[in-house]
Amino acid sequence: MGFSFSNIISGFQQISTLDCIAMIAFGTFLGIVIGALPGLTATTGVAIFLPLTFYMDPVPALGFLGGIYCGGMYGGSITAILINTPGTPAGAATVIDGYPLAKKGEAYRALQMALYASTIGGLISCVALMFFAPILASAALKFSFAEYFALGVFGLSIVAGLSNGNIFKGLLSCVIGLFIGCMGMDPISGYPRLSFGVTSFLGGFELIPVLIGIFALSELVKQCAEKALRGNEKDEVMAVSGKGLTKQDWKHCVAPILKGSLIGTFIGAVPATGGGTAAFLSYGEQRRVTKDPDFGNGSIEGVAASESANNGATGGTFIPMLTLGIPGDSVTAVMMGALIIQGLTPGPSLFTDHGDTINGIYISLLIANLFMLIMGQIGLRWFYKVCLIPKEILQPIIFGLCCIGAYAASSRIFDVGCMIFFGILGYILLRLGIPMTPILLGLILGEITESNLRRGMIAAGGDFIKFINRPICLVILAFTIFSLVFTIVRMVKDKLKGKEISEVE
Amino acid sequence: MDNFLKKRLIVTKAHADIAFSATVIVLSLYMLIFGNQKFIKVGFGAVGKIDDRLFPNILMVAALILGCAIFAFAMFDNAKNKRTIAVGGTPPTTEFSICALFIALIGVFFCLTMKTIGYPLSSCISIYAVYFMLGGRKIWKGVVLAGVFTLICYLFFAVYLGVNLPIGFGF
Repeated sequence: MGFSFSNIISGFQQISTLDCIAMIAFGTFLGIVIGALPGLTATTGVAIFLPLTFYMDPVPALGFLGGIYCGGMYGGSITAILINTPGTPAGAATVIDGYPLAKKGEAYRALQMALYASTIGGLISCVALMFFAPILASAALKFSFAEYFALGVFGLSIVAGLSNGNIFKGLLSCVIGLFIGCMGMDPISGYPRLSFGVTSFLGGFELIPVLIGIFALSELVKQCAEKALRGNEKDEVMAVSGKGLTKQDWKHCVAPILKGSLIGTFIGAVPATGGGTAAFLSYGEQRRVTKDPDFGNGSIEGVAASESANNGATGGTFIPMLTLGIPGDSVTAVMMGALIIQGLTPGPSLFTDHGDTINGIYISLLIANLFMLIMGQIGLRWFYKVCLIPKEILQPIIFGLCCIGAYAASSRIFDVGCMIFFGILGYILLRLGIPMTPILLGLILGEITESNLRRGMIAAGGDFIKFINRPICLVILAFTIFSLVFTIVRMVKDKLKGKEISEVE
Repeated sequence: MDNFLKKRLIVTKAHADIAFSATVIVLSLYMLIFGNQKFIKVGFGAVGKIDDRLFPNILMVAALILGCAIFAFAMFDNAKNKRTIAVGGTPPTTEFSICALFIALIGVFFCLTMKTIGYPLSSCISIYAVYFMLGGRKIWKGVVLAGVFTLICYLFFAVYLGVNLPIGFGF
């Protein structure tokens, strides 16, 4: 199951059709456009365009979504540099040095560095994914009910803890997702449960309408509310002017790019962190070691450090998702849904049962990064124009895509209704500071966690201690308890000191 | 219309949290005491207490504990807010826009009319409504947007992918 060159060849064979290459290229293009639109994140993009992949084979489908992911991470830097607003949260660190560079008339140089750093980060993280994912998967193959249950609990608690300042809200978000997942057929007995007397609830909720609702429609409602409040106020866009990168720039930026790529890959592999955290960590590290007096006020090193890290996280986030079934960030949480729709269950068995597909995913990510480089280079001077598209044109299109996407999943109008319901619920929860990613994770991991808990408990004669009394399971559970207690204690201390807890918006 | 869409409900974060956590507490208590018994039948394969209700019960206990914790924190924040207001400060607030209601209504319209008047017309009207809601006032622009988008979607999903999109009016 380890990495070998035959994997690479097999991966290339998987993607060597015109359809597949075209879908990766299209996905990357869409990703850059979505990333460049302020307010639309890679997560929203993947959720909106997920229904397009229903009728595709797994490799082109995941290559298409992987393209949106990689392109979206880079696209966020365009608006970060030109209008002082990151297109995606992962581009927030790029604003600090990117926008001052644009103000100095060096926007072209900053955009070029963002593109090259993103590509190098993305490629390095893909190589890391190819090497480390099979190793982790072969270790995870030895897991039994208890370890899977512990992993489910660990994944849920760590995502809840890290995705929001208020851990209780994050955990409650998980519980909401798990409860929604409980509706429908019982995973062991097959009896319908929690249908509340409604016939349509007997089969439970389809993943796609829920996913589109909480990630795309809720964001649309938020944007509409902002548009209604701001009216036709427009952002000031800096001109793409100035010269390109020099040899001196490259000399200064090689180290931050390499370091950023590695930080990105490592942070991406930690569940629930993702590109935003990686970009800020890499930027902070560069701030510590830099000799550039302009750092923080228009330094090319700052752009290189943050952009290499946020794209470096793309491959890293796939490692826990593919090997353990725990997503590295919100985009991979949505992509996990895409895998399930394709009939592939994320986890170590994916590597033994669908090895070729996994190889295809590796190579499609590599190709997506290369497409990103080509498209980014060609469109460097005009990609920013997408952020000039009026909201009254863009938002109705997103609304239409949400509706048809929810319907196309199983041709049921009930699913469109579910999407609307979860969209509005998502908006209300967002305003209450409840993060969305744990809901999705609860929905996905609920069945695995519950069925493993019940099967394991039955095998252990109902004795919970006997059930969890396995070394790896105990280590995972101990780590879960430690991280939860640590986060809660820190939060209570902050509260007593009067610090404001940052919450999702 | 534009001024109406600017309407929003502004509440302090503490009050919003109190209302939300109280709802969670009440609902989880209801599910624990009555709901799970009423809406979950125990099927085959149950061994002792390891049955269909085990996991939902665990979830409701967790929801109850978390609801209480959020409630306690919100009360603490509320007391802090009162002190902030007393010294002339402004407590953190959150807002709920009326746009959410409009989007929901447009969505409900789409669901209710899709079968009867068909996807093309239902989609065109819904998209035009969202366009209008967002301040689009040029009729031709809205009609072209709704028409072209619906046509592309119809061709892609119904013709290319074979999704069963209703045409409506009995067809």
